[in-house]
Amino acid sequence: MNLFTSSSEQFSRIFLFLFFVVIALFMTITEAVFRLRVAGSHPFELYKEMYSRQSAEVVMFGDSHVVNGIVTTSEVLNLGYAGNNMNSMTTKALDYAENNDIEYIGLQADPHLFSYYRIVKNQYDHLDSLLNKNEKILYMYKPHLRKYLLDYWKSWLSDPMKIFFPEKEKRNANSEIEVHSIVEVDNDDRKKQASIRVQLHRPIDSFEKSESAMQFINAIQELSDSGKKICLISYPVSSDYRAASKTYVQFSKVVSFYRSLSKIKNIKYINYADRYEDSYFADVDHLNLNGRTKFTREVINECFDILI
Amino acid sequence: MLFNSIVFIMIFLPFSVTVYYFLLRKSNKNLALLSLVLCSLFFYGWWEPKYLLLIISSVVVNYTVAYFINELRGFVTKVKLLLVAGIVFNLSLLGLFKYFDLIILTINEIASLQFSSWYIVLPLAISFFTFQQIAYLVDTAQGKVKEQGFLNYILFVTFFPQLIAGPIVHHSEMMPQFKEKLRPEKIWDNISVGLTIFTIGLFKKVVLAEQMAYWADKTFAASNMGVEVGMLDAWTGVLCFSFQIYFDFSGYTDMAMGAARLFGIKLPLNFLSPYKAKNIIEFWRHWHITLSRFLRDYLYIPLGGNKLGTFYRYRNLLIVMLLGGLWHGAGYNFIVWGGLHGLYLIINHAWRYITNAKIDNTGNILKNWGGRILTFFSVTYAWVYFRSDSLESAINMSNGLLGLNGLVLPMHYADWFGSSLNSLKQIGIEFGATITYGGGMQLVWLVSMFCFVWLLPNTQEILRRYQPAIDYHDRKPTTWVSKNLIWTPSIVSGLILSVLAIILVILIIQGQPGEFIYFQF
Repeated sequence: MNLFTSSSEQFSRIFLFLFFVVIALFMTITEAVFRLRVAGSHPFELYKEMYSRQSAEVVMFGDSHVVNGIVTTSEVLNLGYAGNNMNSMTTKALDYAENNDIEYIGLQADPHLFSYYRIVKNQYDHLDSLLNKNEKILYMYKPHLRKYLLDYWKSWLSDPMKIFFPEKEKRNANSEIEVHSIVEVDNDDRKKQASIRVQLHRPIDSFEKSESAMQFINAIQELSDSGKKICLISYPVSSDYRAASKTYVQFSKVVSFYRSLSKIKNIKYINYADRYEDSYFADVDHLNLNGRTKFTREVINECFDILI
Repeated sequence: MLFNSIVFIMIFLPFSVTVYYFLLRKSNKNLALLSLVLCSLFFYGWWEPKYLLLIISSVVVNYTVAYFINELRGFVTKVKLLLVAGIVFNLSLLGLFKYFDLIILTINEIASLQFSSWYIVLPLAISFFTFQQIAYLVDTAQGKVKEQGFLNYILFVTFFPQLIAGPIVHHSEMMPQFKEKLRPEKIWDNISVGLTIFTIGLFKKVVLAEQMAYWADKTFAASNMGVEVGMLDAWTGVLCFSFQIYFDFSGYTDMAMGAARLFGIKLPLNFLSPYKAKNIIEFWRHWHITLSRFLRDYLYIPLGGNKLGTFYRYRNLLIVMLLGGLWHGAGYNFIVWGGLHGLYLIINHAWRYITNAKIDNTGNILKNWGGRILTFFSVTYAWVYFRSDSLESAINMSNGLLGLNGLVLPMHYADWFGSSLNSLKQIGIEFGATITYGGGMQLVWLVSMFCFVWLLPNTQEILRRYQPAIDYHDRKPTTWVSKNLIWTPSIVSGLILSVLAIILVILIIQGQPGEFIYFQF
């Protein structure tokens, strides 16, 4: 009998042996390394730690605009997380307000929170992990680890020492912030980036009737009823982004929606979209280090009358 | 429990196969079959334990009705009454759990009433086990049922590889197999064939269907939200869905066949390269074959089939396809989808009538490919109604396909056009962010998909030496590839396939396993 001789028994034995042994090894090694070496220093775990243990007078929620826009200090806690949408932002704000003694809440009120790609973004895993609902027992199934599983393995195979001395993660880390400015980028490239970003960020036509709008309105009502002081904030964007967004009427419609909502609910709404020069931006719609320092001071003062 | 989940692949399937063969060796076949019934009920209950009561009651009621039909043979009126009662029971269950909310919605719309919906969660597989049992009752009344043991019956309905999304098996092809004595020398053959078919199916689902779903979902999500989808996005999304559902269903069918074969059970043919079909009649003989068979035997023929003349034939076709559409889902979009296919079939039959052509007519290459392409795009267009959440969304996508929502090309393409940019803008071509942009790799994927569905041999052809399906009869291989790509179990093929299976399982661990489209029916 050679390697190619027809034999169902040989086929099945080699298949089953290899399959179960390799998968068992793979799962055991992955689980062990994730538990012992990776999870502790992962940005999500650090964020979760911050979410569950830290508190401050003012807490800010939203996506990467908030992550890059607000400096965490003793008075302000930045609980922004890249990729968050209305659902995750409001769920977190409600949960956090219920479990912590806070007075002021800053909610992001940017038009792109009503863009289709952001609305459809599935945030259930993120929320489940954060709020300890349906928590996965195996670390390899935790959403923030499992989607990078192959990247971890590639890195471990290329340099096995990384298993024992893992690199510090950078993904979504609130502490990592760009220091350079977008004005260093070629003018045409900036315009192009802004145009692409704005098209992606374009709110859907029927945003007012969307589930996201309902979630936002209900969350504001619930937080107001529980005595929290809320401020809605449209984060700063660069001049190229503003110019590109003027092409689409939906951007100004969403701003009008936020404005009228703030009047109806009697809460503050401040639109910072056009208040910052381009030198304060790391890219077309995210502040750099200088921008975030200046912005944090201004927004906390203007929104909540707190001087920091 | 999904076929493409770790718990199924690593725990449930190995456990149930091991227990089955252990009992088969140590005791008698009935105990082994009982273990299969228990495993199947566990598999069904994993999703929602309370619906176990539904499937068990359905099985018990149908079996009892069939028992009394047999007992009362000779009393025509009583048998008829019992049969009608049985069918009404089955259709009522289906109506209540699947169509009640649609009925309420329709009444509210027509009569401007405000009845509230019940928002009933559709029990898994109800459409499948209802049809199987109706067929059993009808055949019992006609004296065609030979196997009548309860153990065989409950296994015929609940056998987990086919329970959730078919094939819609017929008692005459399943129950005799449960009684057959398994020859020990066949066990390894069954295991090797089963593992191979299952792995091929897993590849189709995890690699091909999931990649296509990534782009299709984005487009349809945008359309469902009222975003005016541009022509390029619309075509990319619709083509991707066309391939997604193909590989999703083909992958599921393979996995079902593979899992069944591990127990020595062969399932009927359900999917046979339908996109290679040269006309729509042929398409329906290769897509969801067992559903077409059921609709033909238990609806089309009782309606009179083609015996009452041309008009009635076309009427019957339309009724069957409309109800077939409704079977897939309680929504107007499914009815439109069924209606479109009914219309396609009528046109196809009328064309045949006019030209006197045969269904499987093999013309010249140009004619064959012309038919194949026309069939593919007709089917693909109909999928728009199948996949959209509402009729408005389907119309939005149709407008996109026709270019009525404009054409947005990826931003960097603008560089290629230089000075002619302005004239392109005047005719409605814009450059910007597209919903489904996937770069050159997307093009490679789409071309590969066409090659897979049009040029490569299917699972049945690759494994033809081992007759993977009950009713697959080896046909003459049509291409060089299908002639030469024949699977043989050996150490080398075992190695290759196990490496593929390992990669697929790692991909499953990395990503959330997506549900099969046909699970929602």
